[in-house]
Amino acid sequence: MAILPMLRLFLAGHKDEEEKVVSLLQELGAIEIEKINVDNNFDLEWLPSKTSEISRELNRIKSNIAFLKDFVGKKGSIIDLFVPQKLPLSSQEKETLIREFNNNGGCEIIESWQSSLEEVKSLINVLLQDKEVLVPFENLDFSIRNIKEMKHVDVFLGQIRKSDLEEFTEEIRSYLSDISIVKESPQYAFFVAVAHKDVTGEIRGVFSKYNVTLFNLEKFSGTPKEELISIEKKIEVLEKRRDDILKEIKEKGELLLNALYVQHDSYQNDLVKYEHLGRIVHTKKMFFITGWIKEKDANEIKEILESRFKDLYLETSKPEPEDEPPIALENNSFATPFEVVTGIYGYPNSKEFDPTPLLAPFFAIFFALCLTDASYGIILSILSLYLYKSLLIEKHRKKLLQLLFICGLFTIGAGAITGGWFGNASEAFKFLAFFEPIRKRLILFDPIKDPIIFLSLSLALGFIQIIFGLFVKMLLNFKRKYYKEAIFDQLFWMLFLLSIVFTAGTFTMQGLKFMSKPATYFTLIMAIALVATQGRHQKSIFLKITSGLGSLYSVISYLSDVLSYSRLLALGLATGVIATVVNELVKTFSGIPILGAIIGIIIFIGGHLFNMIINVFGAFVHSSRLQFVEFFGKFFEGGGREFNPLRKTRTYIIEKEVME
Amino acid sequence: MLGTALAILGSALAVFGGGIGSSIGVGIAGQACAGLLSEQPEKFGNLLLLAAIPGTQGIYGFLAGFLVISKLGLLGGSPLTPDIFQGLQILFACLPVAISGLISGIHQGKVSAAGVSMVAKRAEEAGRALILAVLVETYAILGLLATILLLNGIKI
Repeated sequence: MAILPMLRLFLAGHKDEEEKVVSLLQELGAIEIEKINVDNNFDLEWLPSKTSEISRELNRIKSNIAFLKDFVGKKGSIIDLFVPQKLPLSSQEKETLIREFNNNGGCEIIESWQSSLEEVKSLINVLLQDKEVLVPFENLDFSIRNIKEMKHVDVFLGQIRKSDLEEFTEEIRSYLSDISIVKESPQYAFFVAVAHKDVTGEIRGVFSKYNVTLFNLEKFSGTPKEELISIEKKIEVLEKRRDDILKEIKEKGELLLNALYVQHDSYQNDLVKYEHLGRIVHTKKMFFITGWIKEKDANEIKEILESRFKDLYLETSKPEPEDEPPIALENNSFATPFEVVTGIYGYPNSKEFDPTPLLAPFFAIFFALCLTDASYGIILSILSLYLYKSLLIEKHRKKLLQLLFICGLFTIGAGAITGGWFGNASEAFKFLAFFEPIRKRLILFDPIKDPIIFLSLSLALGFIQIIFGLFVKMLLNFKRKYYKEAIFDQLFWMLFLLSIVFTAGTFTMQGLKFMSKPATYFTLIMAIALVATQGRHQKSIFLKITSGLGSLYSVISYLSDVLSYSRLLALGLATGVIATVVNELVKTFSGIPILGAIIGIIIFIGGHLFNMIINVFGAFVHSSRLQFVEFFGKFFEGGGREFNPLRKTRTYIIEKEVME
Repeated sequence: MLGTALAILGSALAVFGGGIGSSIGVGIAGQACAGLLSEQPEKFGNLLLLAAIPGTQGIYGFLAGFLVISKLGLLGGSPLTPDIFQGLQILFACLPVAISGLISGIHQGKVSAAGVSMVAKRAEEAGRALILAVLVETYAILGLLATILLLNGIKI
């Protein structure tokens, strides 16, 4: 129950089997391969081109996934936003999917859909633009063919700002045989102008002076009306084509998308595999792998490998003292979820032990005190249990949910003793009054009325955790045979801090009064002992004494550590007060008949949900901080590297075999 | 009546100091998040927490404000009428949370924004980015605590 012992692993084999061996290792997911940068790797010229081929294929699949997802991807729930769910498939289902995928045309068909859709879209766009040009002139009853064929006159179809219209007609009339306004929009007027070819230059001058937009109708031939009808027809045909494609996508899309997911994950794993292949040592005929394996897995893995491959040499050995093996944690079922907390700070180094079981009970209690509402605890536990059962992700990623489940249970207790059940709901609402006697019986103190009790509880817990941290460090130093440090730096400090608190207690509590004198003397003796020993690293007597005296100043830092635990009170109060505010709000609406009840229910649910979410979040981060800064600071070094074996990565698919 | 007005001023200051601090803080963090989301929308879950965390100062301020309101009995029933000195006491008691919330909210926003750029490069570091931001919050909490204890000590 701590850091798992690791073994060094050495593996050698014939090069022909290399790829198969690495594939199997990836399947097993139990060995971390040490990456060695090798300058001279024999016969690996094929590797770069292979890797780039796979990444090309992977990119193709990714873009196809992105395309299909818009049409058939299930609408993601809120949960998906935070934890993307995976698709559970058995290996047989995977094979069937791939077969179907290839039978149905594979990537090619998806790409052809994509390009056809784009083509249709751009064709429709061109037609719509044409339509826009023609619409203002739809009432003209001559064909455009005729305009183009005229020998002596030019016909201009144009658009001009209405504000300029009067001036423009005035100026242009001298050159023109005819101008008529065919349509007006709020801003623009559309006109048809006929002019002799001799004056074209002048007319164009006037057009550009008034910023006239001319429409080019070269590509049309019939009357505008005819043309519009034919455009409509063309659009209809194109839309039909688009709908056909969309229908086909709807039919086959989901199957293809799932198959793409399968391929995506498999290519991704290949990529990881080849990346590892490039980093192991090769000679002309052999390959060598060095790495790490959990001691408990070693025998099983060895058997599997040796039964599959005849010419494989495999050896495991204990790590050398100068080695730094990667860290894998193992704890009992209560403490395991709390590895999440340790993981945020960083893993212990290989010379240490796993702090997870030490922080677990503290974390759960602190979390509960920050939340202090029994109903929130119940909801939190039920919700995390539900998500734990229903989320389609790997098991080791569900630790956070287990953690929240445990913390939820603790919160029920903390809520009961502080009387928080949706804040003061049973006091505030008449129809919940039946619950009030139960609440009253369970309550030990009301944090809003007696914050001092809550504060003392928080500080006491903090003091206990800090002394516990020193105690752990003392044991650690004894174990490492640093006896001086253990006694002078930890034991003396523990005794000193405890005696300060005890002395203070003897002065305030009547029953202990008789102890106050000896307690004071003992505290003084401990202070002197600290002054005498804390300066031991200094050379001269004078420095020894001053730095010994200076070390007493650390009392302040211990004091500030303890004070930091007062956040438990602040956060605990925050939950209760906001819950009360929500209830007060609901009450103000309760006067209105019917509508008041509806609004009240909405505010009640929304308000308490909001309060619960922000406070669960606050409880989590602040409880973590207390572990990291105040507790770990006393004994924990960290800096270990997490054990990261070569294994399958899963982005979209999770094997049913893994789920069970 | 001046006493009541002073007490209300204290309550208002607490809500408003914490509120400004939080809105500036969440603003800074939120902008950084939006920038990253345009590139990596899948990190929304991680980022939401970082953007939300400078929001707690506003809640602490509100909490203190509410404690004053309920102490004065303004929510219903018969309001108490503190004299001028009691009013001043309540006003001063509100200052710790008002000022520490205002300033720590802004700085927490900056730390969160820096955390966002950390998450941009290494999504697995989101937890540590959060913890760094929480270090700033301690002082808002101490401010709130001082306010609560002071309010608790004032007798009307």
